[in-house]
Amino acid sequence: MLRVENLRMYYRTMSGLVRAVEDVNFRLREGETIALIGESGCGKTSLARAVIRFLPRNVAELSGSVVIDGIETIGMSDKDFDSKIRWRKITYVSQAAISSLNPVIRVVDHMIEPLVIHFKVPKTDAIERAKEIIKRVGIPEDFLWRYPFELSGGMRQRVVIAISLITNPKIVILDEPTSALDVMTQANILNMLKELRSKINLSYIFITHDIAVSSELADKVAVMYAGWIVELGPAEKVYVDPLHPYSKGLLGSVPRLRSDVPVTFIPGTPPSLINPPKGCRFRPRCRYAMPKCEEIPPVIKTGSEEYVRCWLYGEK
Amino acid sequence: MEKSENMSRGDILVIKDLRVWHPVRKLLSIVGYVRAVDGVTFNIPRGRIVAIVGESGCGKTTLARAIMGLIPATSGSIIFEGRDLTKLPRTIIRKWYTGQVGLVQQDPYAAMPPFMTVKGILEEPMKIHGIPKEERSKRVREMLTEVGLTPPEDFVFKYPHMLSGGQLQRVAIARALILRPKLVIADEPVSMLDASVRIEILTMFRELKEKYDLTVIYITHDFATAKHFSDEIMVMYAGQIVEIGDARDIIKKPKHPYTEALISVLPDPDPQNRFTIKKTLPGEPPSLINPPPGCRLWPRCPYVMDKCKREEPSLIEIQDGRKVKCWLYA
Repeated sequence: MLRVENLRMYYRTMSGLVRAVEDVNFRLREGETIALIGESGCGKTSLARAVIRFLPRNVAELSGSVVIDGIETIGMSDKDFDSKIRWRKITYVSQAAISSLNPVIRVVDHMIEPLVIHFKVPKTDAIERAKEIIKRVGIPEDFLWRYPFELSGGMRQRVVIAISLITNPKIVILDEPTSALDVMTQANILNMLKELRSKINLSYIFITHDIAVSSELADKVAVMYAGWIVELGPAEKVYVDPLHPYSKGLLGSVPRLRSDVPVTFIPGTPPSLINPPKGCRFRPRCRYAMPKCEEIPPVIKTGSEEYVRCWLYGEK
Repeated sequence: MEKSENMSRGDILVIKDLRVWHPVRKLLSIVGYVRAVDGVTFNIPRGRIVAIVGESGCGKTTLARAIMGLIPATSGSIIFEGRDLTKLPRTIIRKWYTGQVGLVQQDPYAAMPPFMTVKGILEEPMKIHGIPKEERSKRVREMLTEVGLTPPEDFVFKYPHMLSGGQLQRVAIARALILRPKLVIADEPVSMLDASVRIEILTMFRELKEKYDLTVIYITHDFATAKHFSDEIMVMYAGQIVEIGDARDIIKKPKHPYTEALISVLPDPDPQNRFTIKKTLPGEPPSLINPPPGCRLWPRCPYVMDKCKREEPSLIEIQDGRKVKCWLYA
C-alpha cells in the first residue's frame, strides 16, 4: 500500500541545512498501522509531511522514493499529486486540525468541502455521504447542522477524523490525534479508530510522543531519533524487547501503571539537526558507545521485518 | 488549640470544607456560580509528595490557586502551619506566606516574562522579600546549580526564549525554591515535556524535595507519573475529591468507580492493547454551574443506585489511609 525508500528531506534555514529526515525506509500494508514514536523534533511530523507532500517552502531537498498504492509520488508534479493521490489515496489529520475548524462554518460544510471542491460531487450527494460518515465516527446525524464551537473537544476530533475519511482514502495519517484530550475522551477516540480500521480496512500512520498510547493501535513501530528511524519492528518485538539503545531508553522512561519497574531517563538532549554528531547520531548519549560508532551505522536486518540502526548488531 | 492539634499530627496544610465558586455575571447581576472547588477537605502531611489527579476542568488548578492565596476562598478554611489564610490580612499573606510556598506552573514559556534574564527572574522574589544583593547573587548561582543548569554563568544572562522547554522548567523550579519555601505546589510541571525529560525533571524534583525538606503538592492528569513520583494520590472529579490513598495502592486497587474507570482505560506499552476495546464511562463530566444532585458521578456510573441520585455521599475512611466518597462503601 505504501512503500518508502531512502526518503530524505532537508530544510534550508538561516543557520544552515536541517537534516530533518534522512534515509528512511518502511512499508505499510493494507489494514496495517505503523506508529512513529520519538521525542519532539525527531522528524516524525516531517516524515509524515514528506509522504503527503504537505511541505513548507524552505525544503532544500526531497529525494528517495514514496510509492503510494503502486504510484511513485516523488518527482510527480503538485497538480498530479493533488488529483491522483491526496484525498483519494491518503489523507492527513494534523496536530492542529482540531483547532482549525472554523467556528462559524457548520460541521456539514466542513465535511463536504473536499468532495465538492476536489471531486466535483453534487452537494446533495456529498451531504448523503457526510451523513453516513459522521455516524461511523460515533456522532449523531443531526450534529451535521451544528457549529464547531458547540462541540466538545472529543466531538471536534471525531469531526476532523470524519473529514479525513469522507473521500474514502486507503491511508490516514494521524498526527497526535489524542494528545490534547482527556483520558476518557482519548480512550473513546482510540476505540473508534480501532473499530473503523476493522470495518473499512484502513491503514494508519500514527504519530505520537506518547509511547503507551502508540501501543493502542500499532501493528508495527518505527522509533525515530534525530531524523533517522533507529529501530523498526512488529509491536510484539519493539514494546517488549527493544534492541536499539535509544528504544531501550525511551521505553524505560515510560512510567508503568501495572508494574513497579523503576523509571529511568536518557541523560543529555537530542542533537542539533543542522550539525549532527559524526557517525551515529545517538552516540553522545549512548551507554554502549564504542569507537566504531563514529562511523555511520548501517541498517541491520534482525528479523523478517525488523531493522535496527546500531553497530551493536553489526559485523563484529 | 487548633494550632497544637494540627502540629502534633505533623500536617503542614489542612484544608477544611473549602469552596471556591466563581460568579457568573450577566450585566450587573450574578446569575449563578461555577463551583470549581466544592467542599474539599484534606490534609497534607509534612515532607510528603501528594498528587492531586483529575481531568481538565475538575477544579485542580483552582484548588492550587486558592492554596497559593491567588484567589479568595468562598468558604471553608486553608490552615497553613496553624494559621488560617482565609482570616489573615492581605499584607501578612504577601510578607509571610508568599515566602513559605512556591509555585511551578504548567507552561514555562507563559510563566516567564520574556524581557527578563534568568538572573532577573530569579532575583525578583528575593527583591520583594528584601534579601540583600550579595546574598541574591549567591543564591541564584546555588539554585541554578541545584537544578542542573551548570555552569550557572552560562545561564544567568539568557532570556527565556533562548532556553529549551526542559531548561526553562528548571528555571521555573529554581524560582519556586529560591525563597526556601516549605511547601511547593507544582501544577502540571512536566506535562509539556517529552517522556525522558519529564522523568529527568521529576527525578531531580524528588531529590530537591529531600535535600530542602519540602512538602510537595503535585497537580497532574497523569496517573502514571503520580504513581512513581508521589506518596499519596487524591483523585478529583467535578470539584470534589472522590478518593484518597497511598499512591501505589490506589492504582493497584482503585475503589471509587471513577478512579477505577480512569485507570482501566490508561494503557501501558503493550502489544496486546491493539486488540481490545476499552470500556469507558458514558457521557462527559457535569457542568459545574448546575451539577447533578446527589453524587456527581451518578449519571455516568455503572454501579448507580437510587440513593446516589438523592444524597451526596461523604468522604469516609474505609481502610488504613484510604478514603472514598461513594455509597458503595458507606
